[in-house]
Amino acid sequence: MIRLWLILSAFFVLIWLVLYPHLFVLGDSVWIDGALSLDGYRRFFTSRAELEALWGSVWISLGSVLLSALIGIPLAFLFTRYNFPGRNVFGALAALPVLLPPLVGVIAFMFLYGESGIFTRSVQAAFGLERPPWRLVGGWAILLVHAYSMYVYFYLFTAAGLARLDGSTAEAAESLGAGRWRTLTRVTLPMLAPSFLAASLLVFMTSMASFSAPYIFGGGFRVLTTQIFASKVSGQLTMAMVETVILASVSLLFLWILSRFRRGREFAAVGKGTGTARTEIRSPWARALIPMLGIGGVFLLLLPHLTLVLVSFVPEGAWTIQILPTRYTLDNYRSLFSDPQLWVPVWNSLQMASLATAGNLVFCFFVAYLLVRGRFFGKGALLTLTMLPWALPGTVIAVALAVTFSANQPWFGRWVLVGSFWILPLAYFIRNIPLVAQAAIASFRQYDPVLEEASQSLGASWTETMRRVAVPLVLPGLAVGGLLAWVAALGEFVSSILLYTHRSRPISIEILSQLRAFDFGAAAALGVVLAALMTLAFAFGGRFVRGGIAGEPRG
Amino acid sequence: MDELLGLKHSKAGAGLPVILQVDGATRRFGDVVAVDRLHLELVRGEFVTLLGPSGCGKTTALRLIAGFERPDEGHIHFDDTDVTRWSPQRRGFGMVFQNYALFPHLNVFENVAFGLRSRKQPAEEIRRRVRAALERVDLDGYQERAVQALSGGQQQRVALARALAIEPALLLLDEPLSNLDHALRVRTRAELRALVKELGITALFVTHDQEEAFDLSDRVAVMHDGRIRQIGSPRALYEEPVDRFVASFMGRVNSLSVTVLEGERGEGAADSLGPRRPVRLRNGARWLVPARERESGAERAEAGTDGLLLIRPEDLAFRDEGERTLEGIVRDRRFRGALTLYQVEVEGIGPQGGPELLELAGGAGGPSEGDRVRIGPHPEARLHLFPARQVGA
Repeated sequence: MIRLWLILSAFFVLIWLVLYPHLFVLGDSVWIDGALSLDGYRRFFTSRAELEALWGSVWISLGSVLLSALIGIPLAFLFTRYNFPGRNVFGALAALPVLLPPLVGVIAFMFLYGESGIFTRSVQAAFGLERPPWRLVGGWAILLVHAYSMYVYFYLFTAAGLARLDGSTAEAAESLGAGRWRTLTRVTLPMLAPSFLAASLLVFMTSMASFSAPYIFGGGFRVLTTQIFASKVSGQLTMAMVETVILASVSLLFLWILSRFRRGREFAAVGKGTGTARTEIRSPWARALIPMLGIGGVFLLLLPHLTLVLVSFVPEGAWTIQILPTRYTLDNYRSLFSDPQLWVPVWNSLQMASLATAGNLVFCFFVAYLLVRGRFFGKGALLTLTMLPWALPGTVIAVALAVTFSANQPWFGRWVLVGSFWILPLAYFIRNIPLVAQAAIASFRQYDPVLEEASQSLGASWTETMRRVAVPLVLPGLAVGGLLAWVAALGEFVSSILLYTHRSRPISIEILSQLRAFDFGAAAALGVVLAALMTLAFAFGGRFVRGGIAGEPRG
Repeated sequence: MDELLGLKHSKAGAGLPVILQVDGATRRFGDVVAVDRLHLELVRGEFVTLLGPSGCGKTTALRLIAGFERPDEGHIHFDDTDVTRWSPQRRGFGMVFQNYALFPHLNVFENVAFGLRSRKQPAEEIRRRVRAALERVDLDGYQERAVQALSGGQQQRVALARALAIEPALLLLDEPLSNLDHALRVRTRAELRALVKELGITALFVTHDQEEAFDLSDRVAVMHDGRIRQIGSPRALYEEPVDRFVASFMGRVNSLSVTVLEGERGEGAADSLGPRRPVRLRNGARWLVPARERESGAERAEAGTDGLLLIRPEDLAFRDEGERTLEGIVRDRRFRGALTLYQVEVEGIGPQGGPELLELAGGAGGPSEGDRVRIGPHPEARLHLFPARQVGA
């Protein structure tokens, strides 16, 4: 009885909040002035600007995949296959770019490599140029930012794949007479294909959904996400809906193609196998050079973080034409607590993120329970609905919510939420369902369901079993998922910019408006707070997972 | 006689209070019938074992009784109450799981106290009963330990203490000893039976280990393909199996292909082992074998059809020339302590008339490998004749 009720409510919530709003978008894209019409699509596919945006989105995404792979894969090989002084430290630091929330990373790049950025001005001064040597604008600028923040996916996935790989297969190839190059191209790389595909998928989807980088650095360069924003703001609602449908379709299409390609390509090590021995680098020259390269590389990776921290101490209006700011102050941090202009958004974000995360924790606990333990008709559909928000760009979700919750039709499940406090927590909740659900599903899979039966056989009811057995066992993993979701919601920008109101503006929007007012210090200080929270969440989350209770292995 | 035939054990005896009654319980998973019209009655205080190979439905049967599965057909009565639709929680049977299913986030005390807390017992009572339960399994003083820190045997005893703490009217055990090493398993068996008997608990045990079933149980139910093939005392099952499956599952057995013949006049007269029937071996020899008709549904081989003659190794002996003997060569002998196993190859008695190896259990001072010998069932031997094609299977 309880189960049936749970299944129905899970479906109800997901259909109402995930599926239904997107059907509205689809409907509004073909419903023009009270009549069915494909006029919107006709205009889209005949407009040069729109096709440019579509093409821009696709090539930026493909380019990001290529560039991230070119950086991430060799780095992973270097750190897992070779041994040299400082390997562990550099290996861990290579994942640093993850610790910058999307918008914050973008503004750090602006402070550093932008037209009046520290690095740009240094080059300008060094060569005595009259004008900045470059402008950080257009497709290449976007690509640069994407490569910096997304190579980490390739790096981490390849390193994990290499760690799982059975080293004896490579040894077998060599014993059969294959050279090192042949072994690499014919044995090792094909076996890593699943890792590469997973990373490619992640980078492609993230690039497709990317809004901050094109918005800040795009200039005249069009991509779909910024195009949707522009259409929405300028009131071309039908075009905004058409663009949203196109963006969602392209994302889902690529997801479908890559998932099909991935199927049947999972390689598991047969038998115990051996790990691959790391090659010790012995040449004294290389031993001296590699740490230096490593330190240099890490410094390069850390530059955005350092720049952000540096700028956060700059008082308003104190950094105009100098290479480095000349005056520093703690005022920006002080005003985080004293100036309502700054602390209201911080407080807003804390409230909205906490609310959304609380919802995620409760909802995803039960959904994961159903998905892992349940045997019912429609389980596949439930899983698809749960994971759907992952595949949909934040811009799409925001537009869908904006369309659906802008009218008062209680009988159709619509209320006016746009313009209220509730719309942002709702958006954060929806966007983080897949992340928290994944964490909860993993936790439920980790312990033997017979524990729940043991509890029942000892006289505990279903609710008691959930409270006394399932919740304590799932909590460590669920908490980590919740923590990551909370940090993501705290720094959320893509959906927020389409849905916020001045009174409930989140941190990211305030960073943007401080940037527009040229108060770089305040913007950076807010960015530092976000990045610090993210770092803490990752550090704490990682510890929690390792120290958490591992369920008993299945019998 | 009745005891040997398992009649007394096939049904719970009249007058004794039946506590658990399973009537035609059936459970299907898709096209697979896991449990097929199961009938079972347990008398109060009895220790019964469901024995069978993996996949025979014994665990599903136990889960039906525990309430984790609902039967598609049939009923389960407990203490004259229909509990078929009851949740496991409401049934309140104690259960010990194969991998113990101890709660990893709770210590030993809280594991054992789990069921008592569900029953809203006062704290003092909980402490007293947990202690009593742990004392019974020799683990008093381990209250504060983490369950992962215990050895397999200790975990098994915590699981037992946890099930006993709620003072269940019926204790269900799902292969609880299979994860222990052999020596510990044998010792734990004896302790388990003593404990259950001392507390007067009715217990239903599931195992695939025939030795374990014989050690523990008052009665054993042999399951195959979702059905109980035979239920009775260990001795009845061994000596009077109702079919080939039960016979071969109860220990080593030789099987000879024969043709069942029409009895001649004068034959078939009952002697101390009951009536006899003639069969022809593949080498042409004509044997008279006991052929009791049983009430318990034993399969009867019809005259003129192929049959299988089952002989246990200990029922074969080295013999001088005479009736019901076969000539062969000792191919192997293995010393097994109390007895020695001889493999004797006999020409012409295989299913296609080829050679066949027969196993004989005898003393250590018998013939050596390569010796030409004559063997045959000794006069008191129990031979079992079954149709070559199983009826109803």
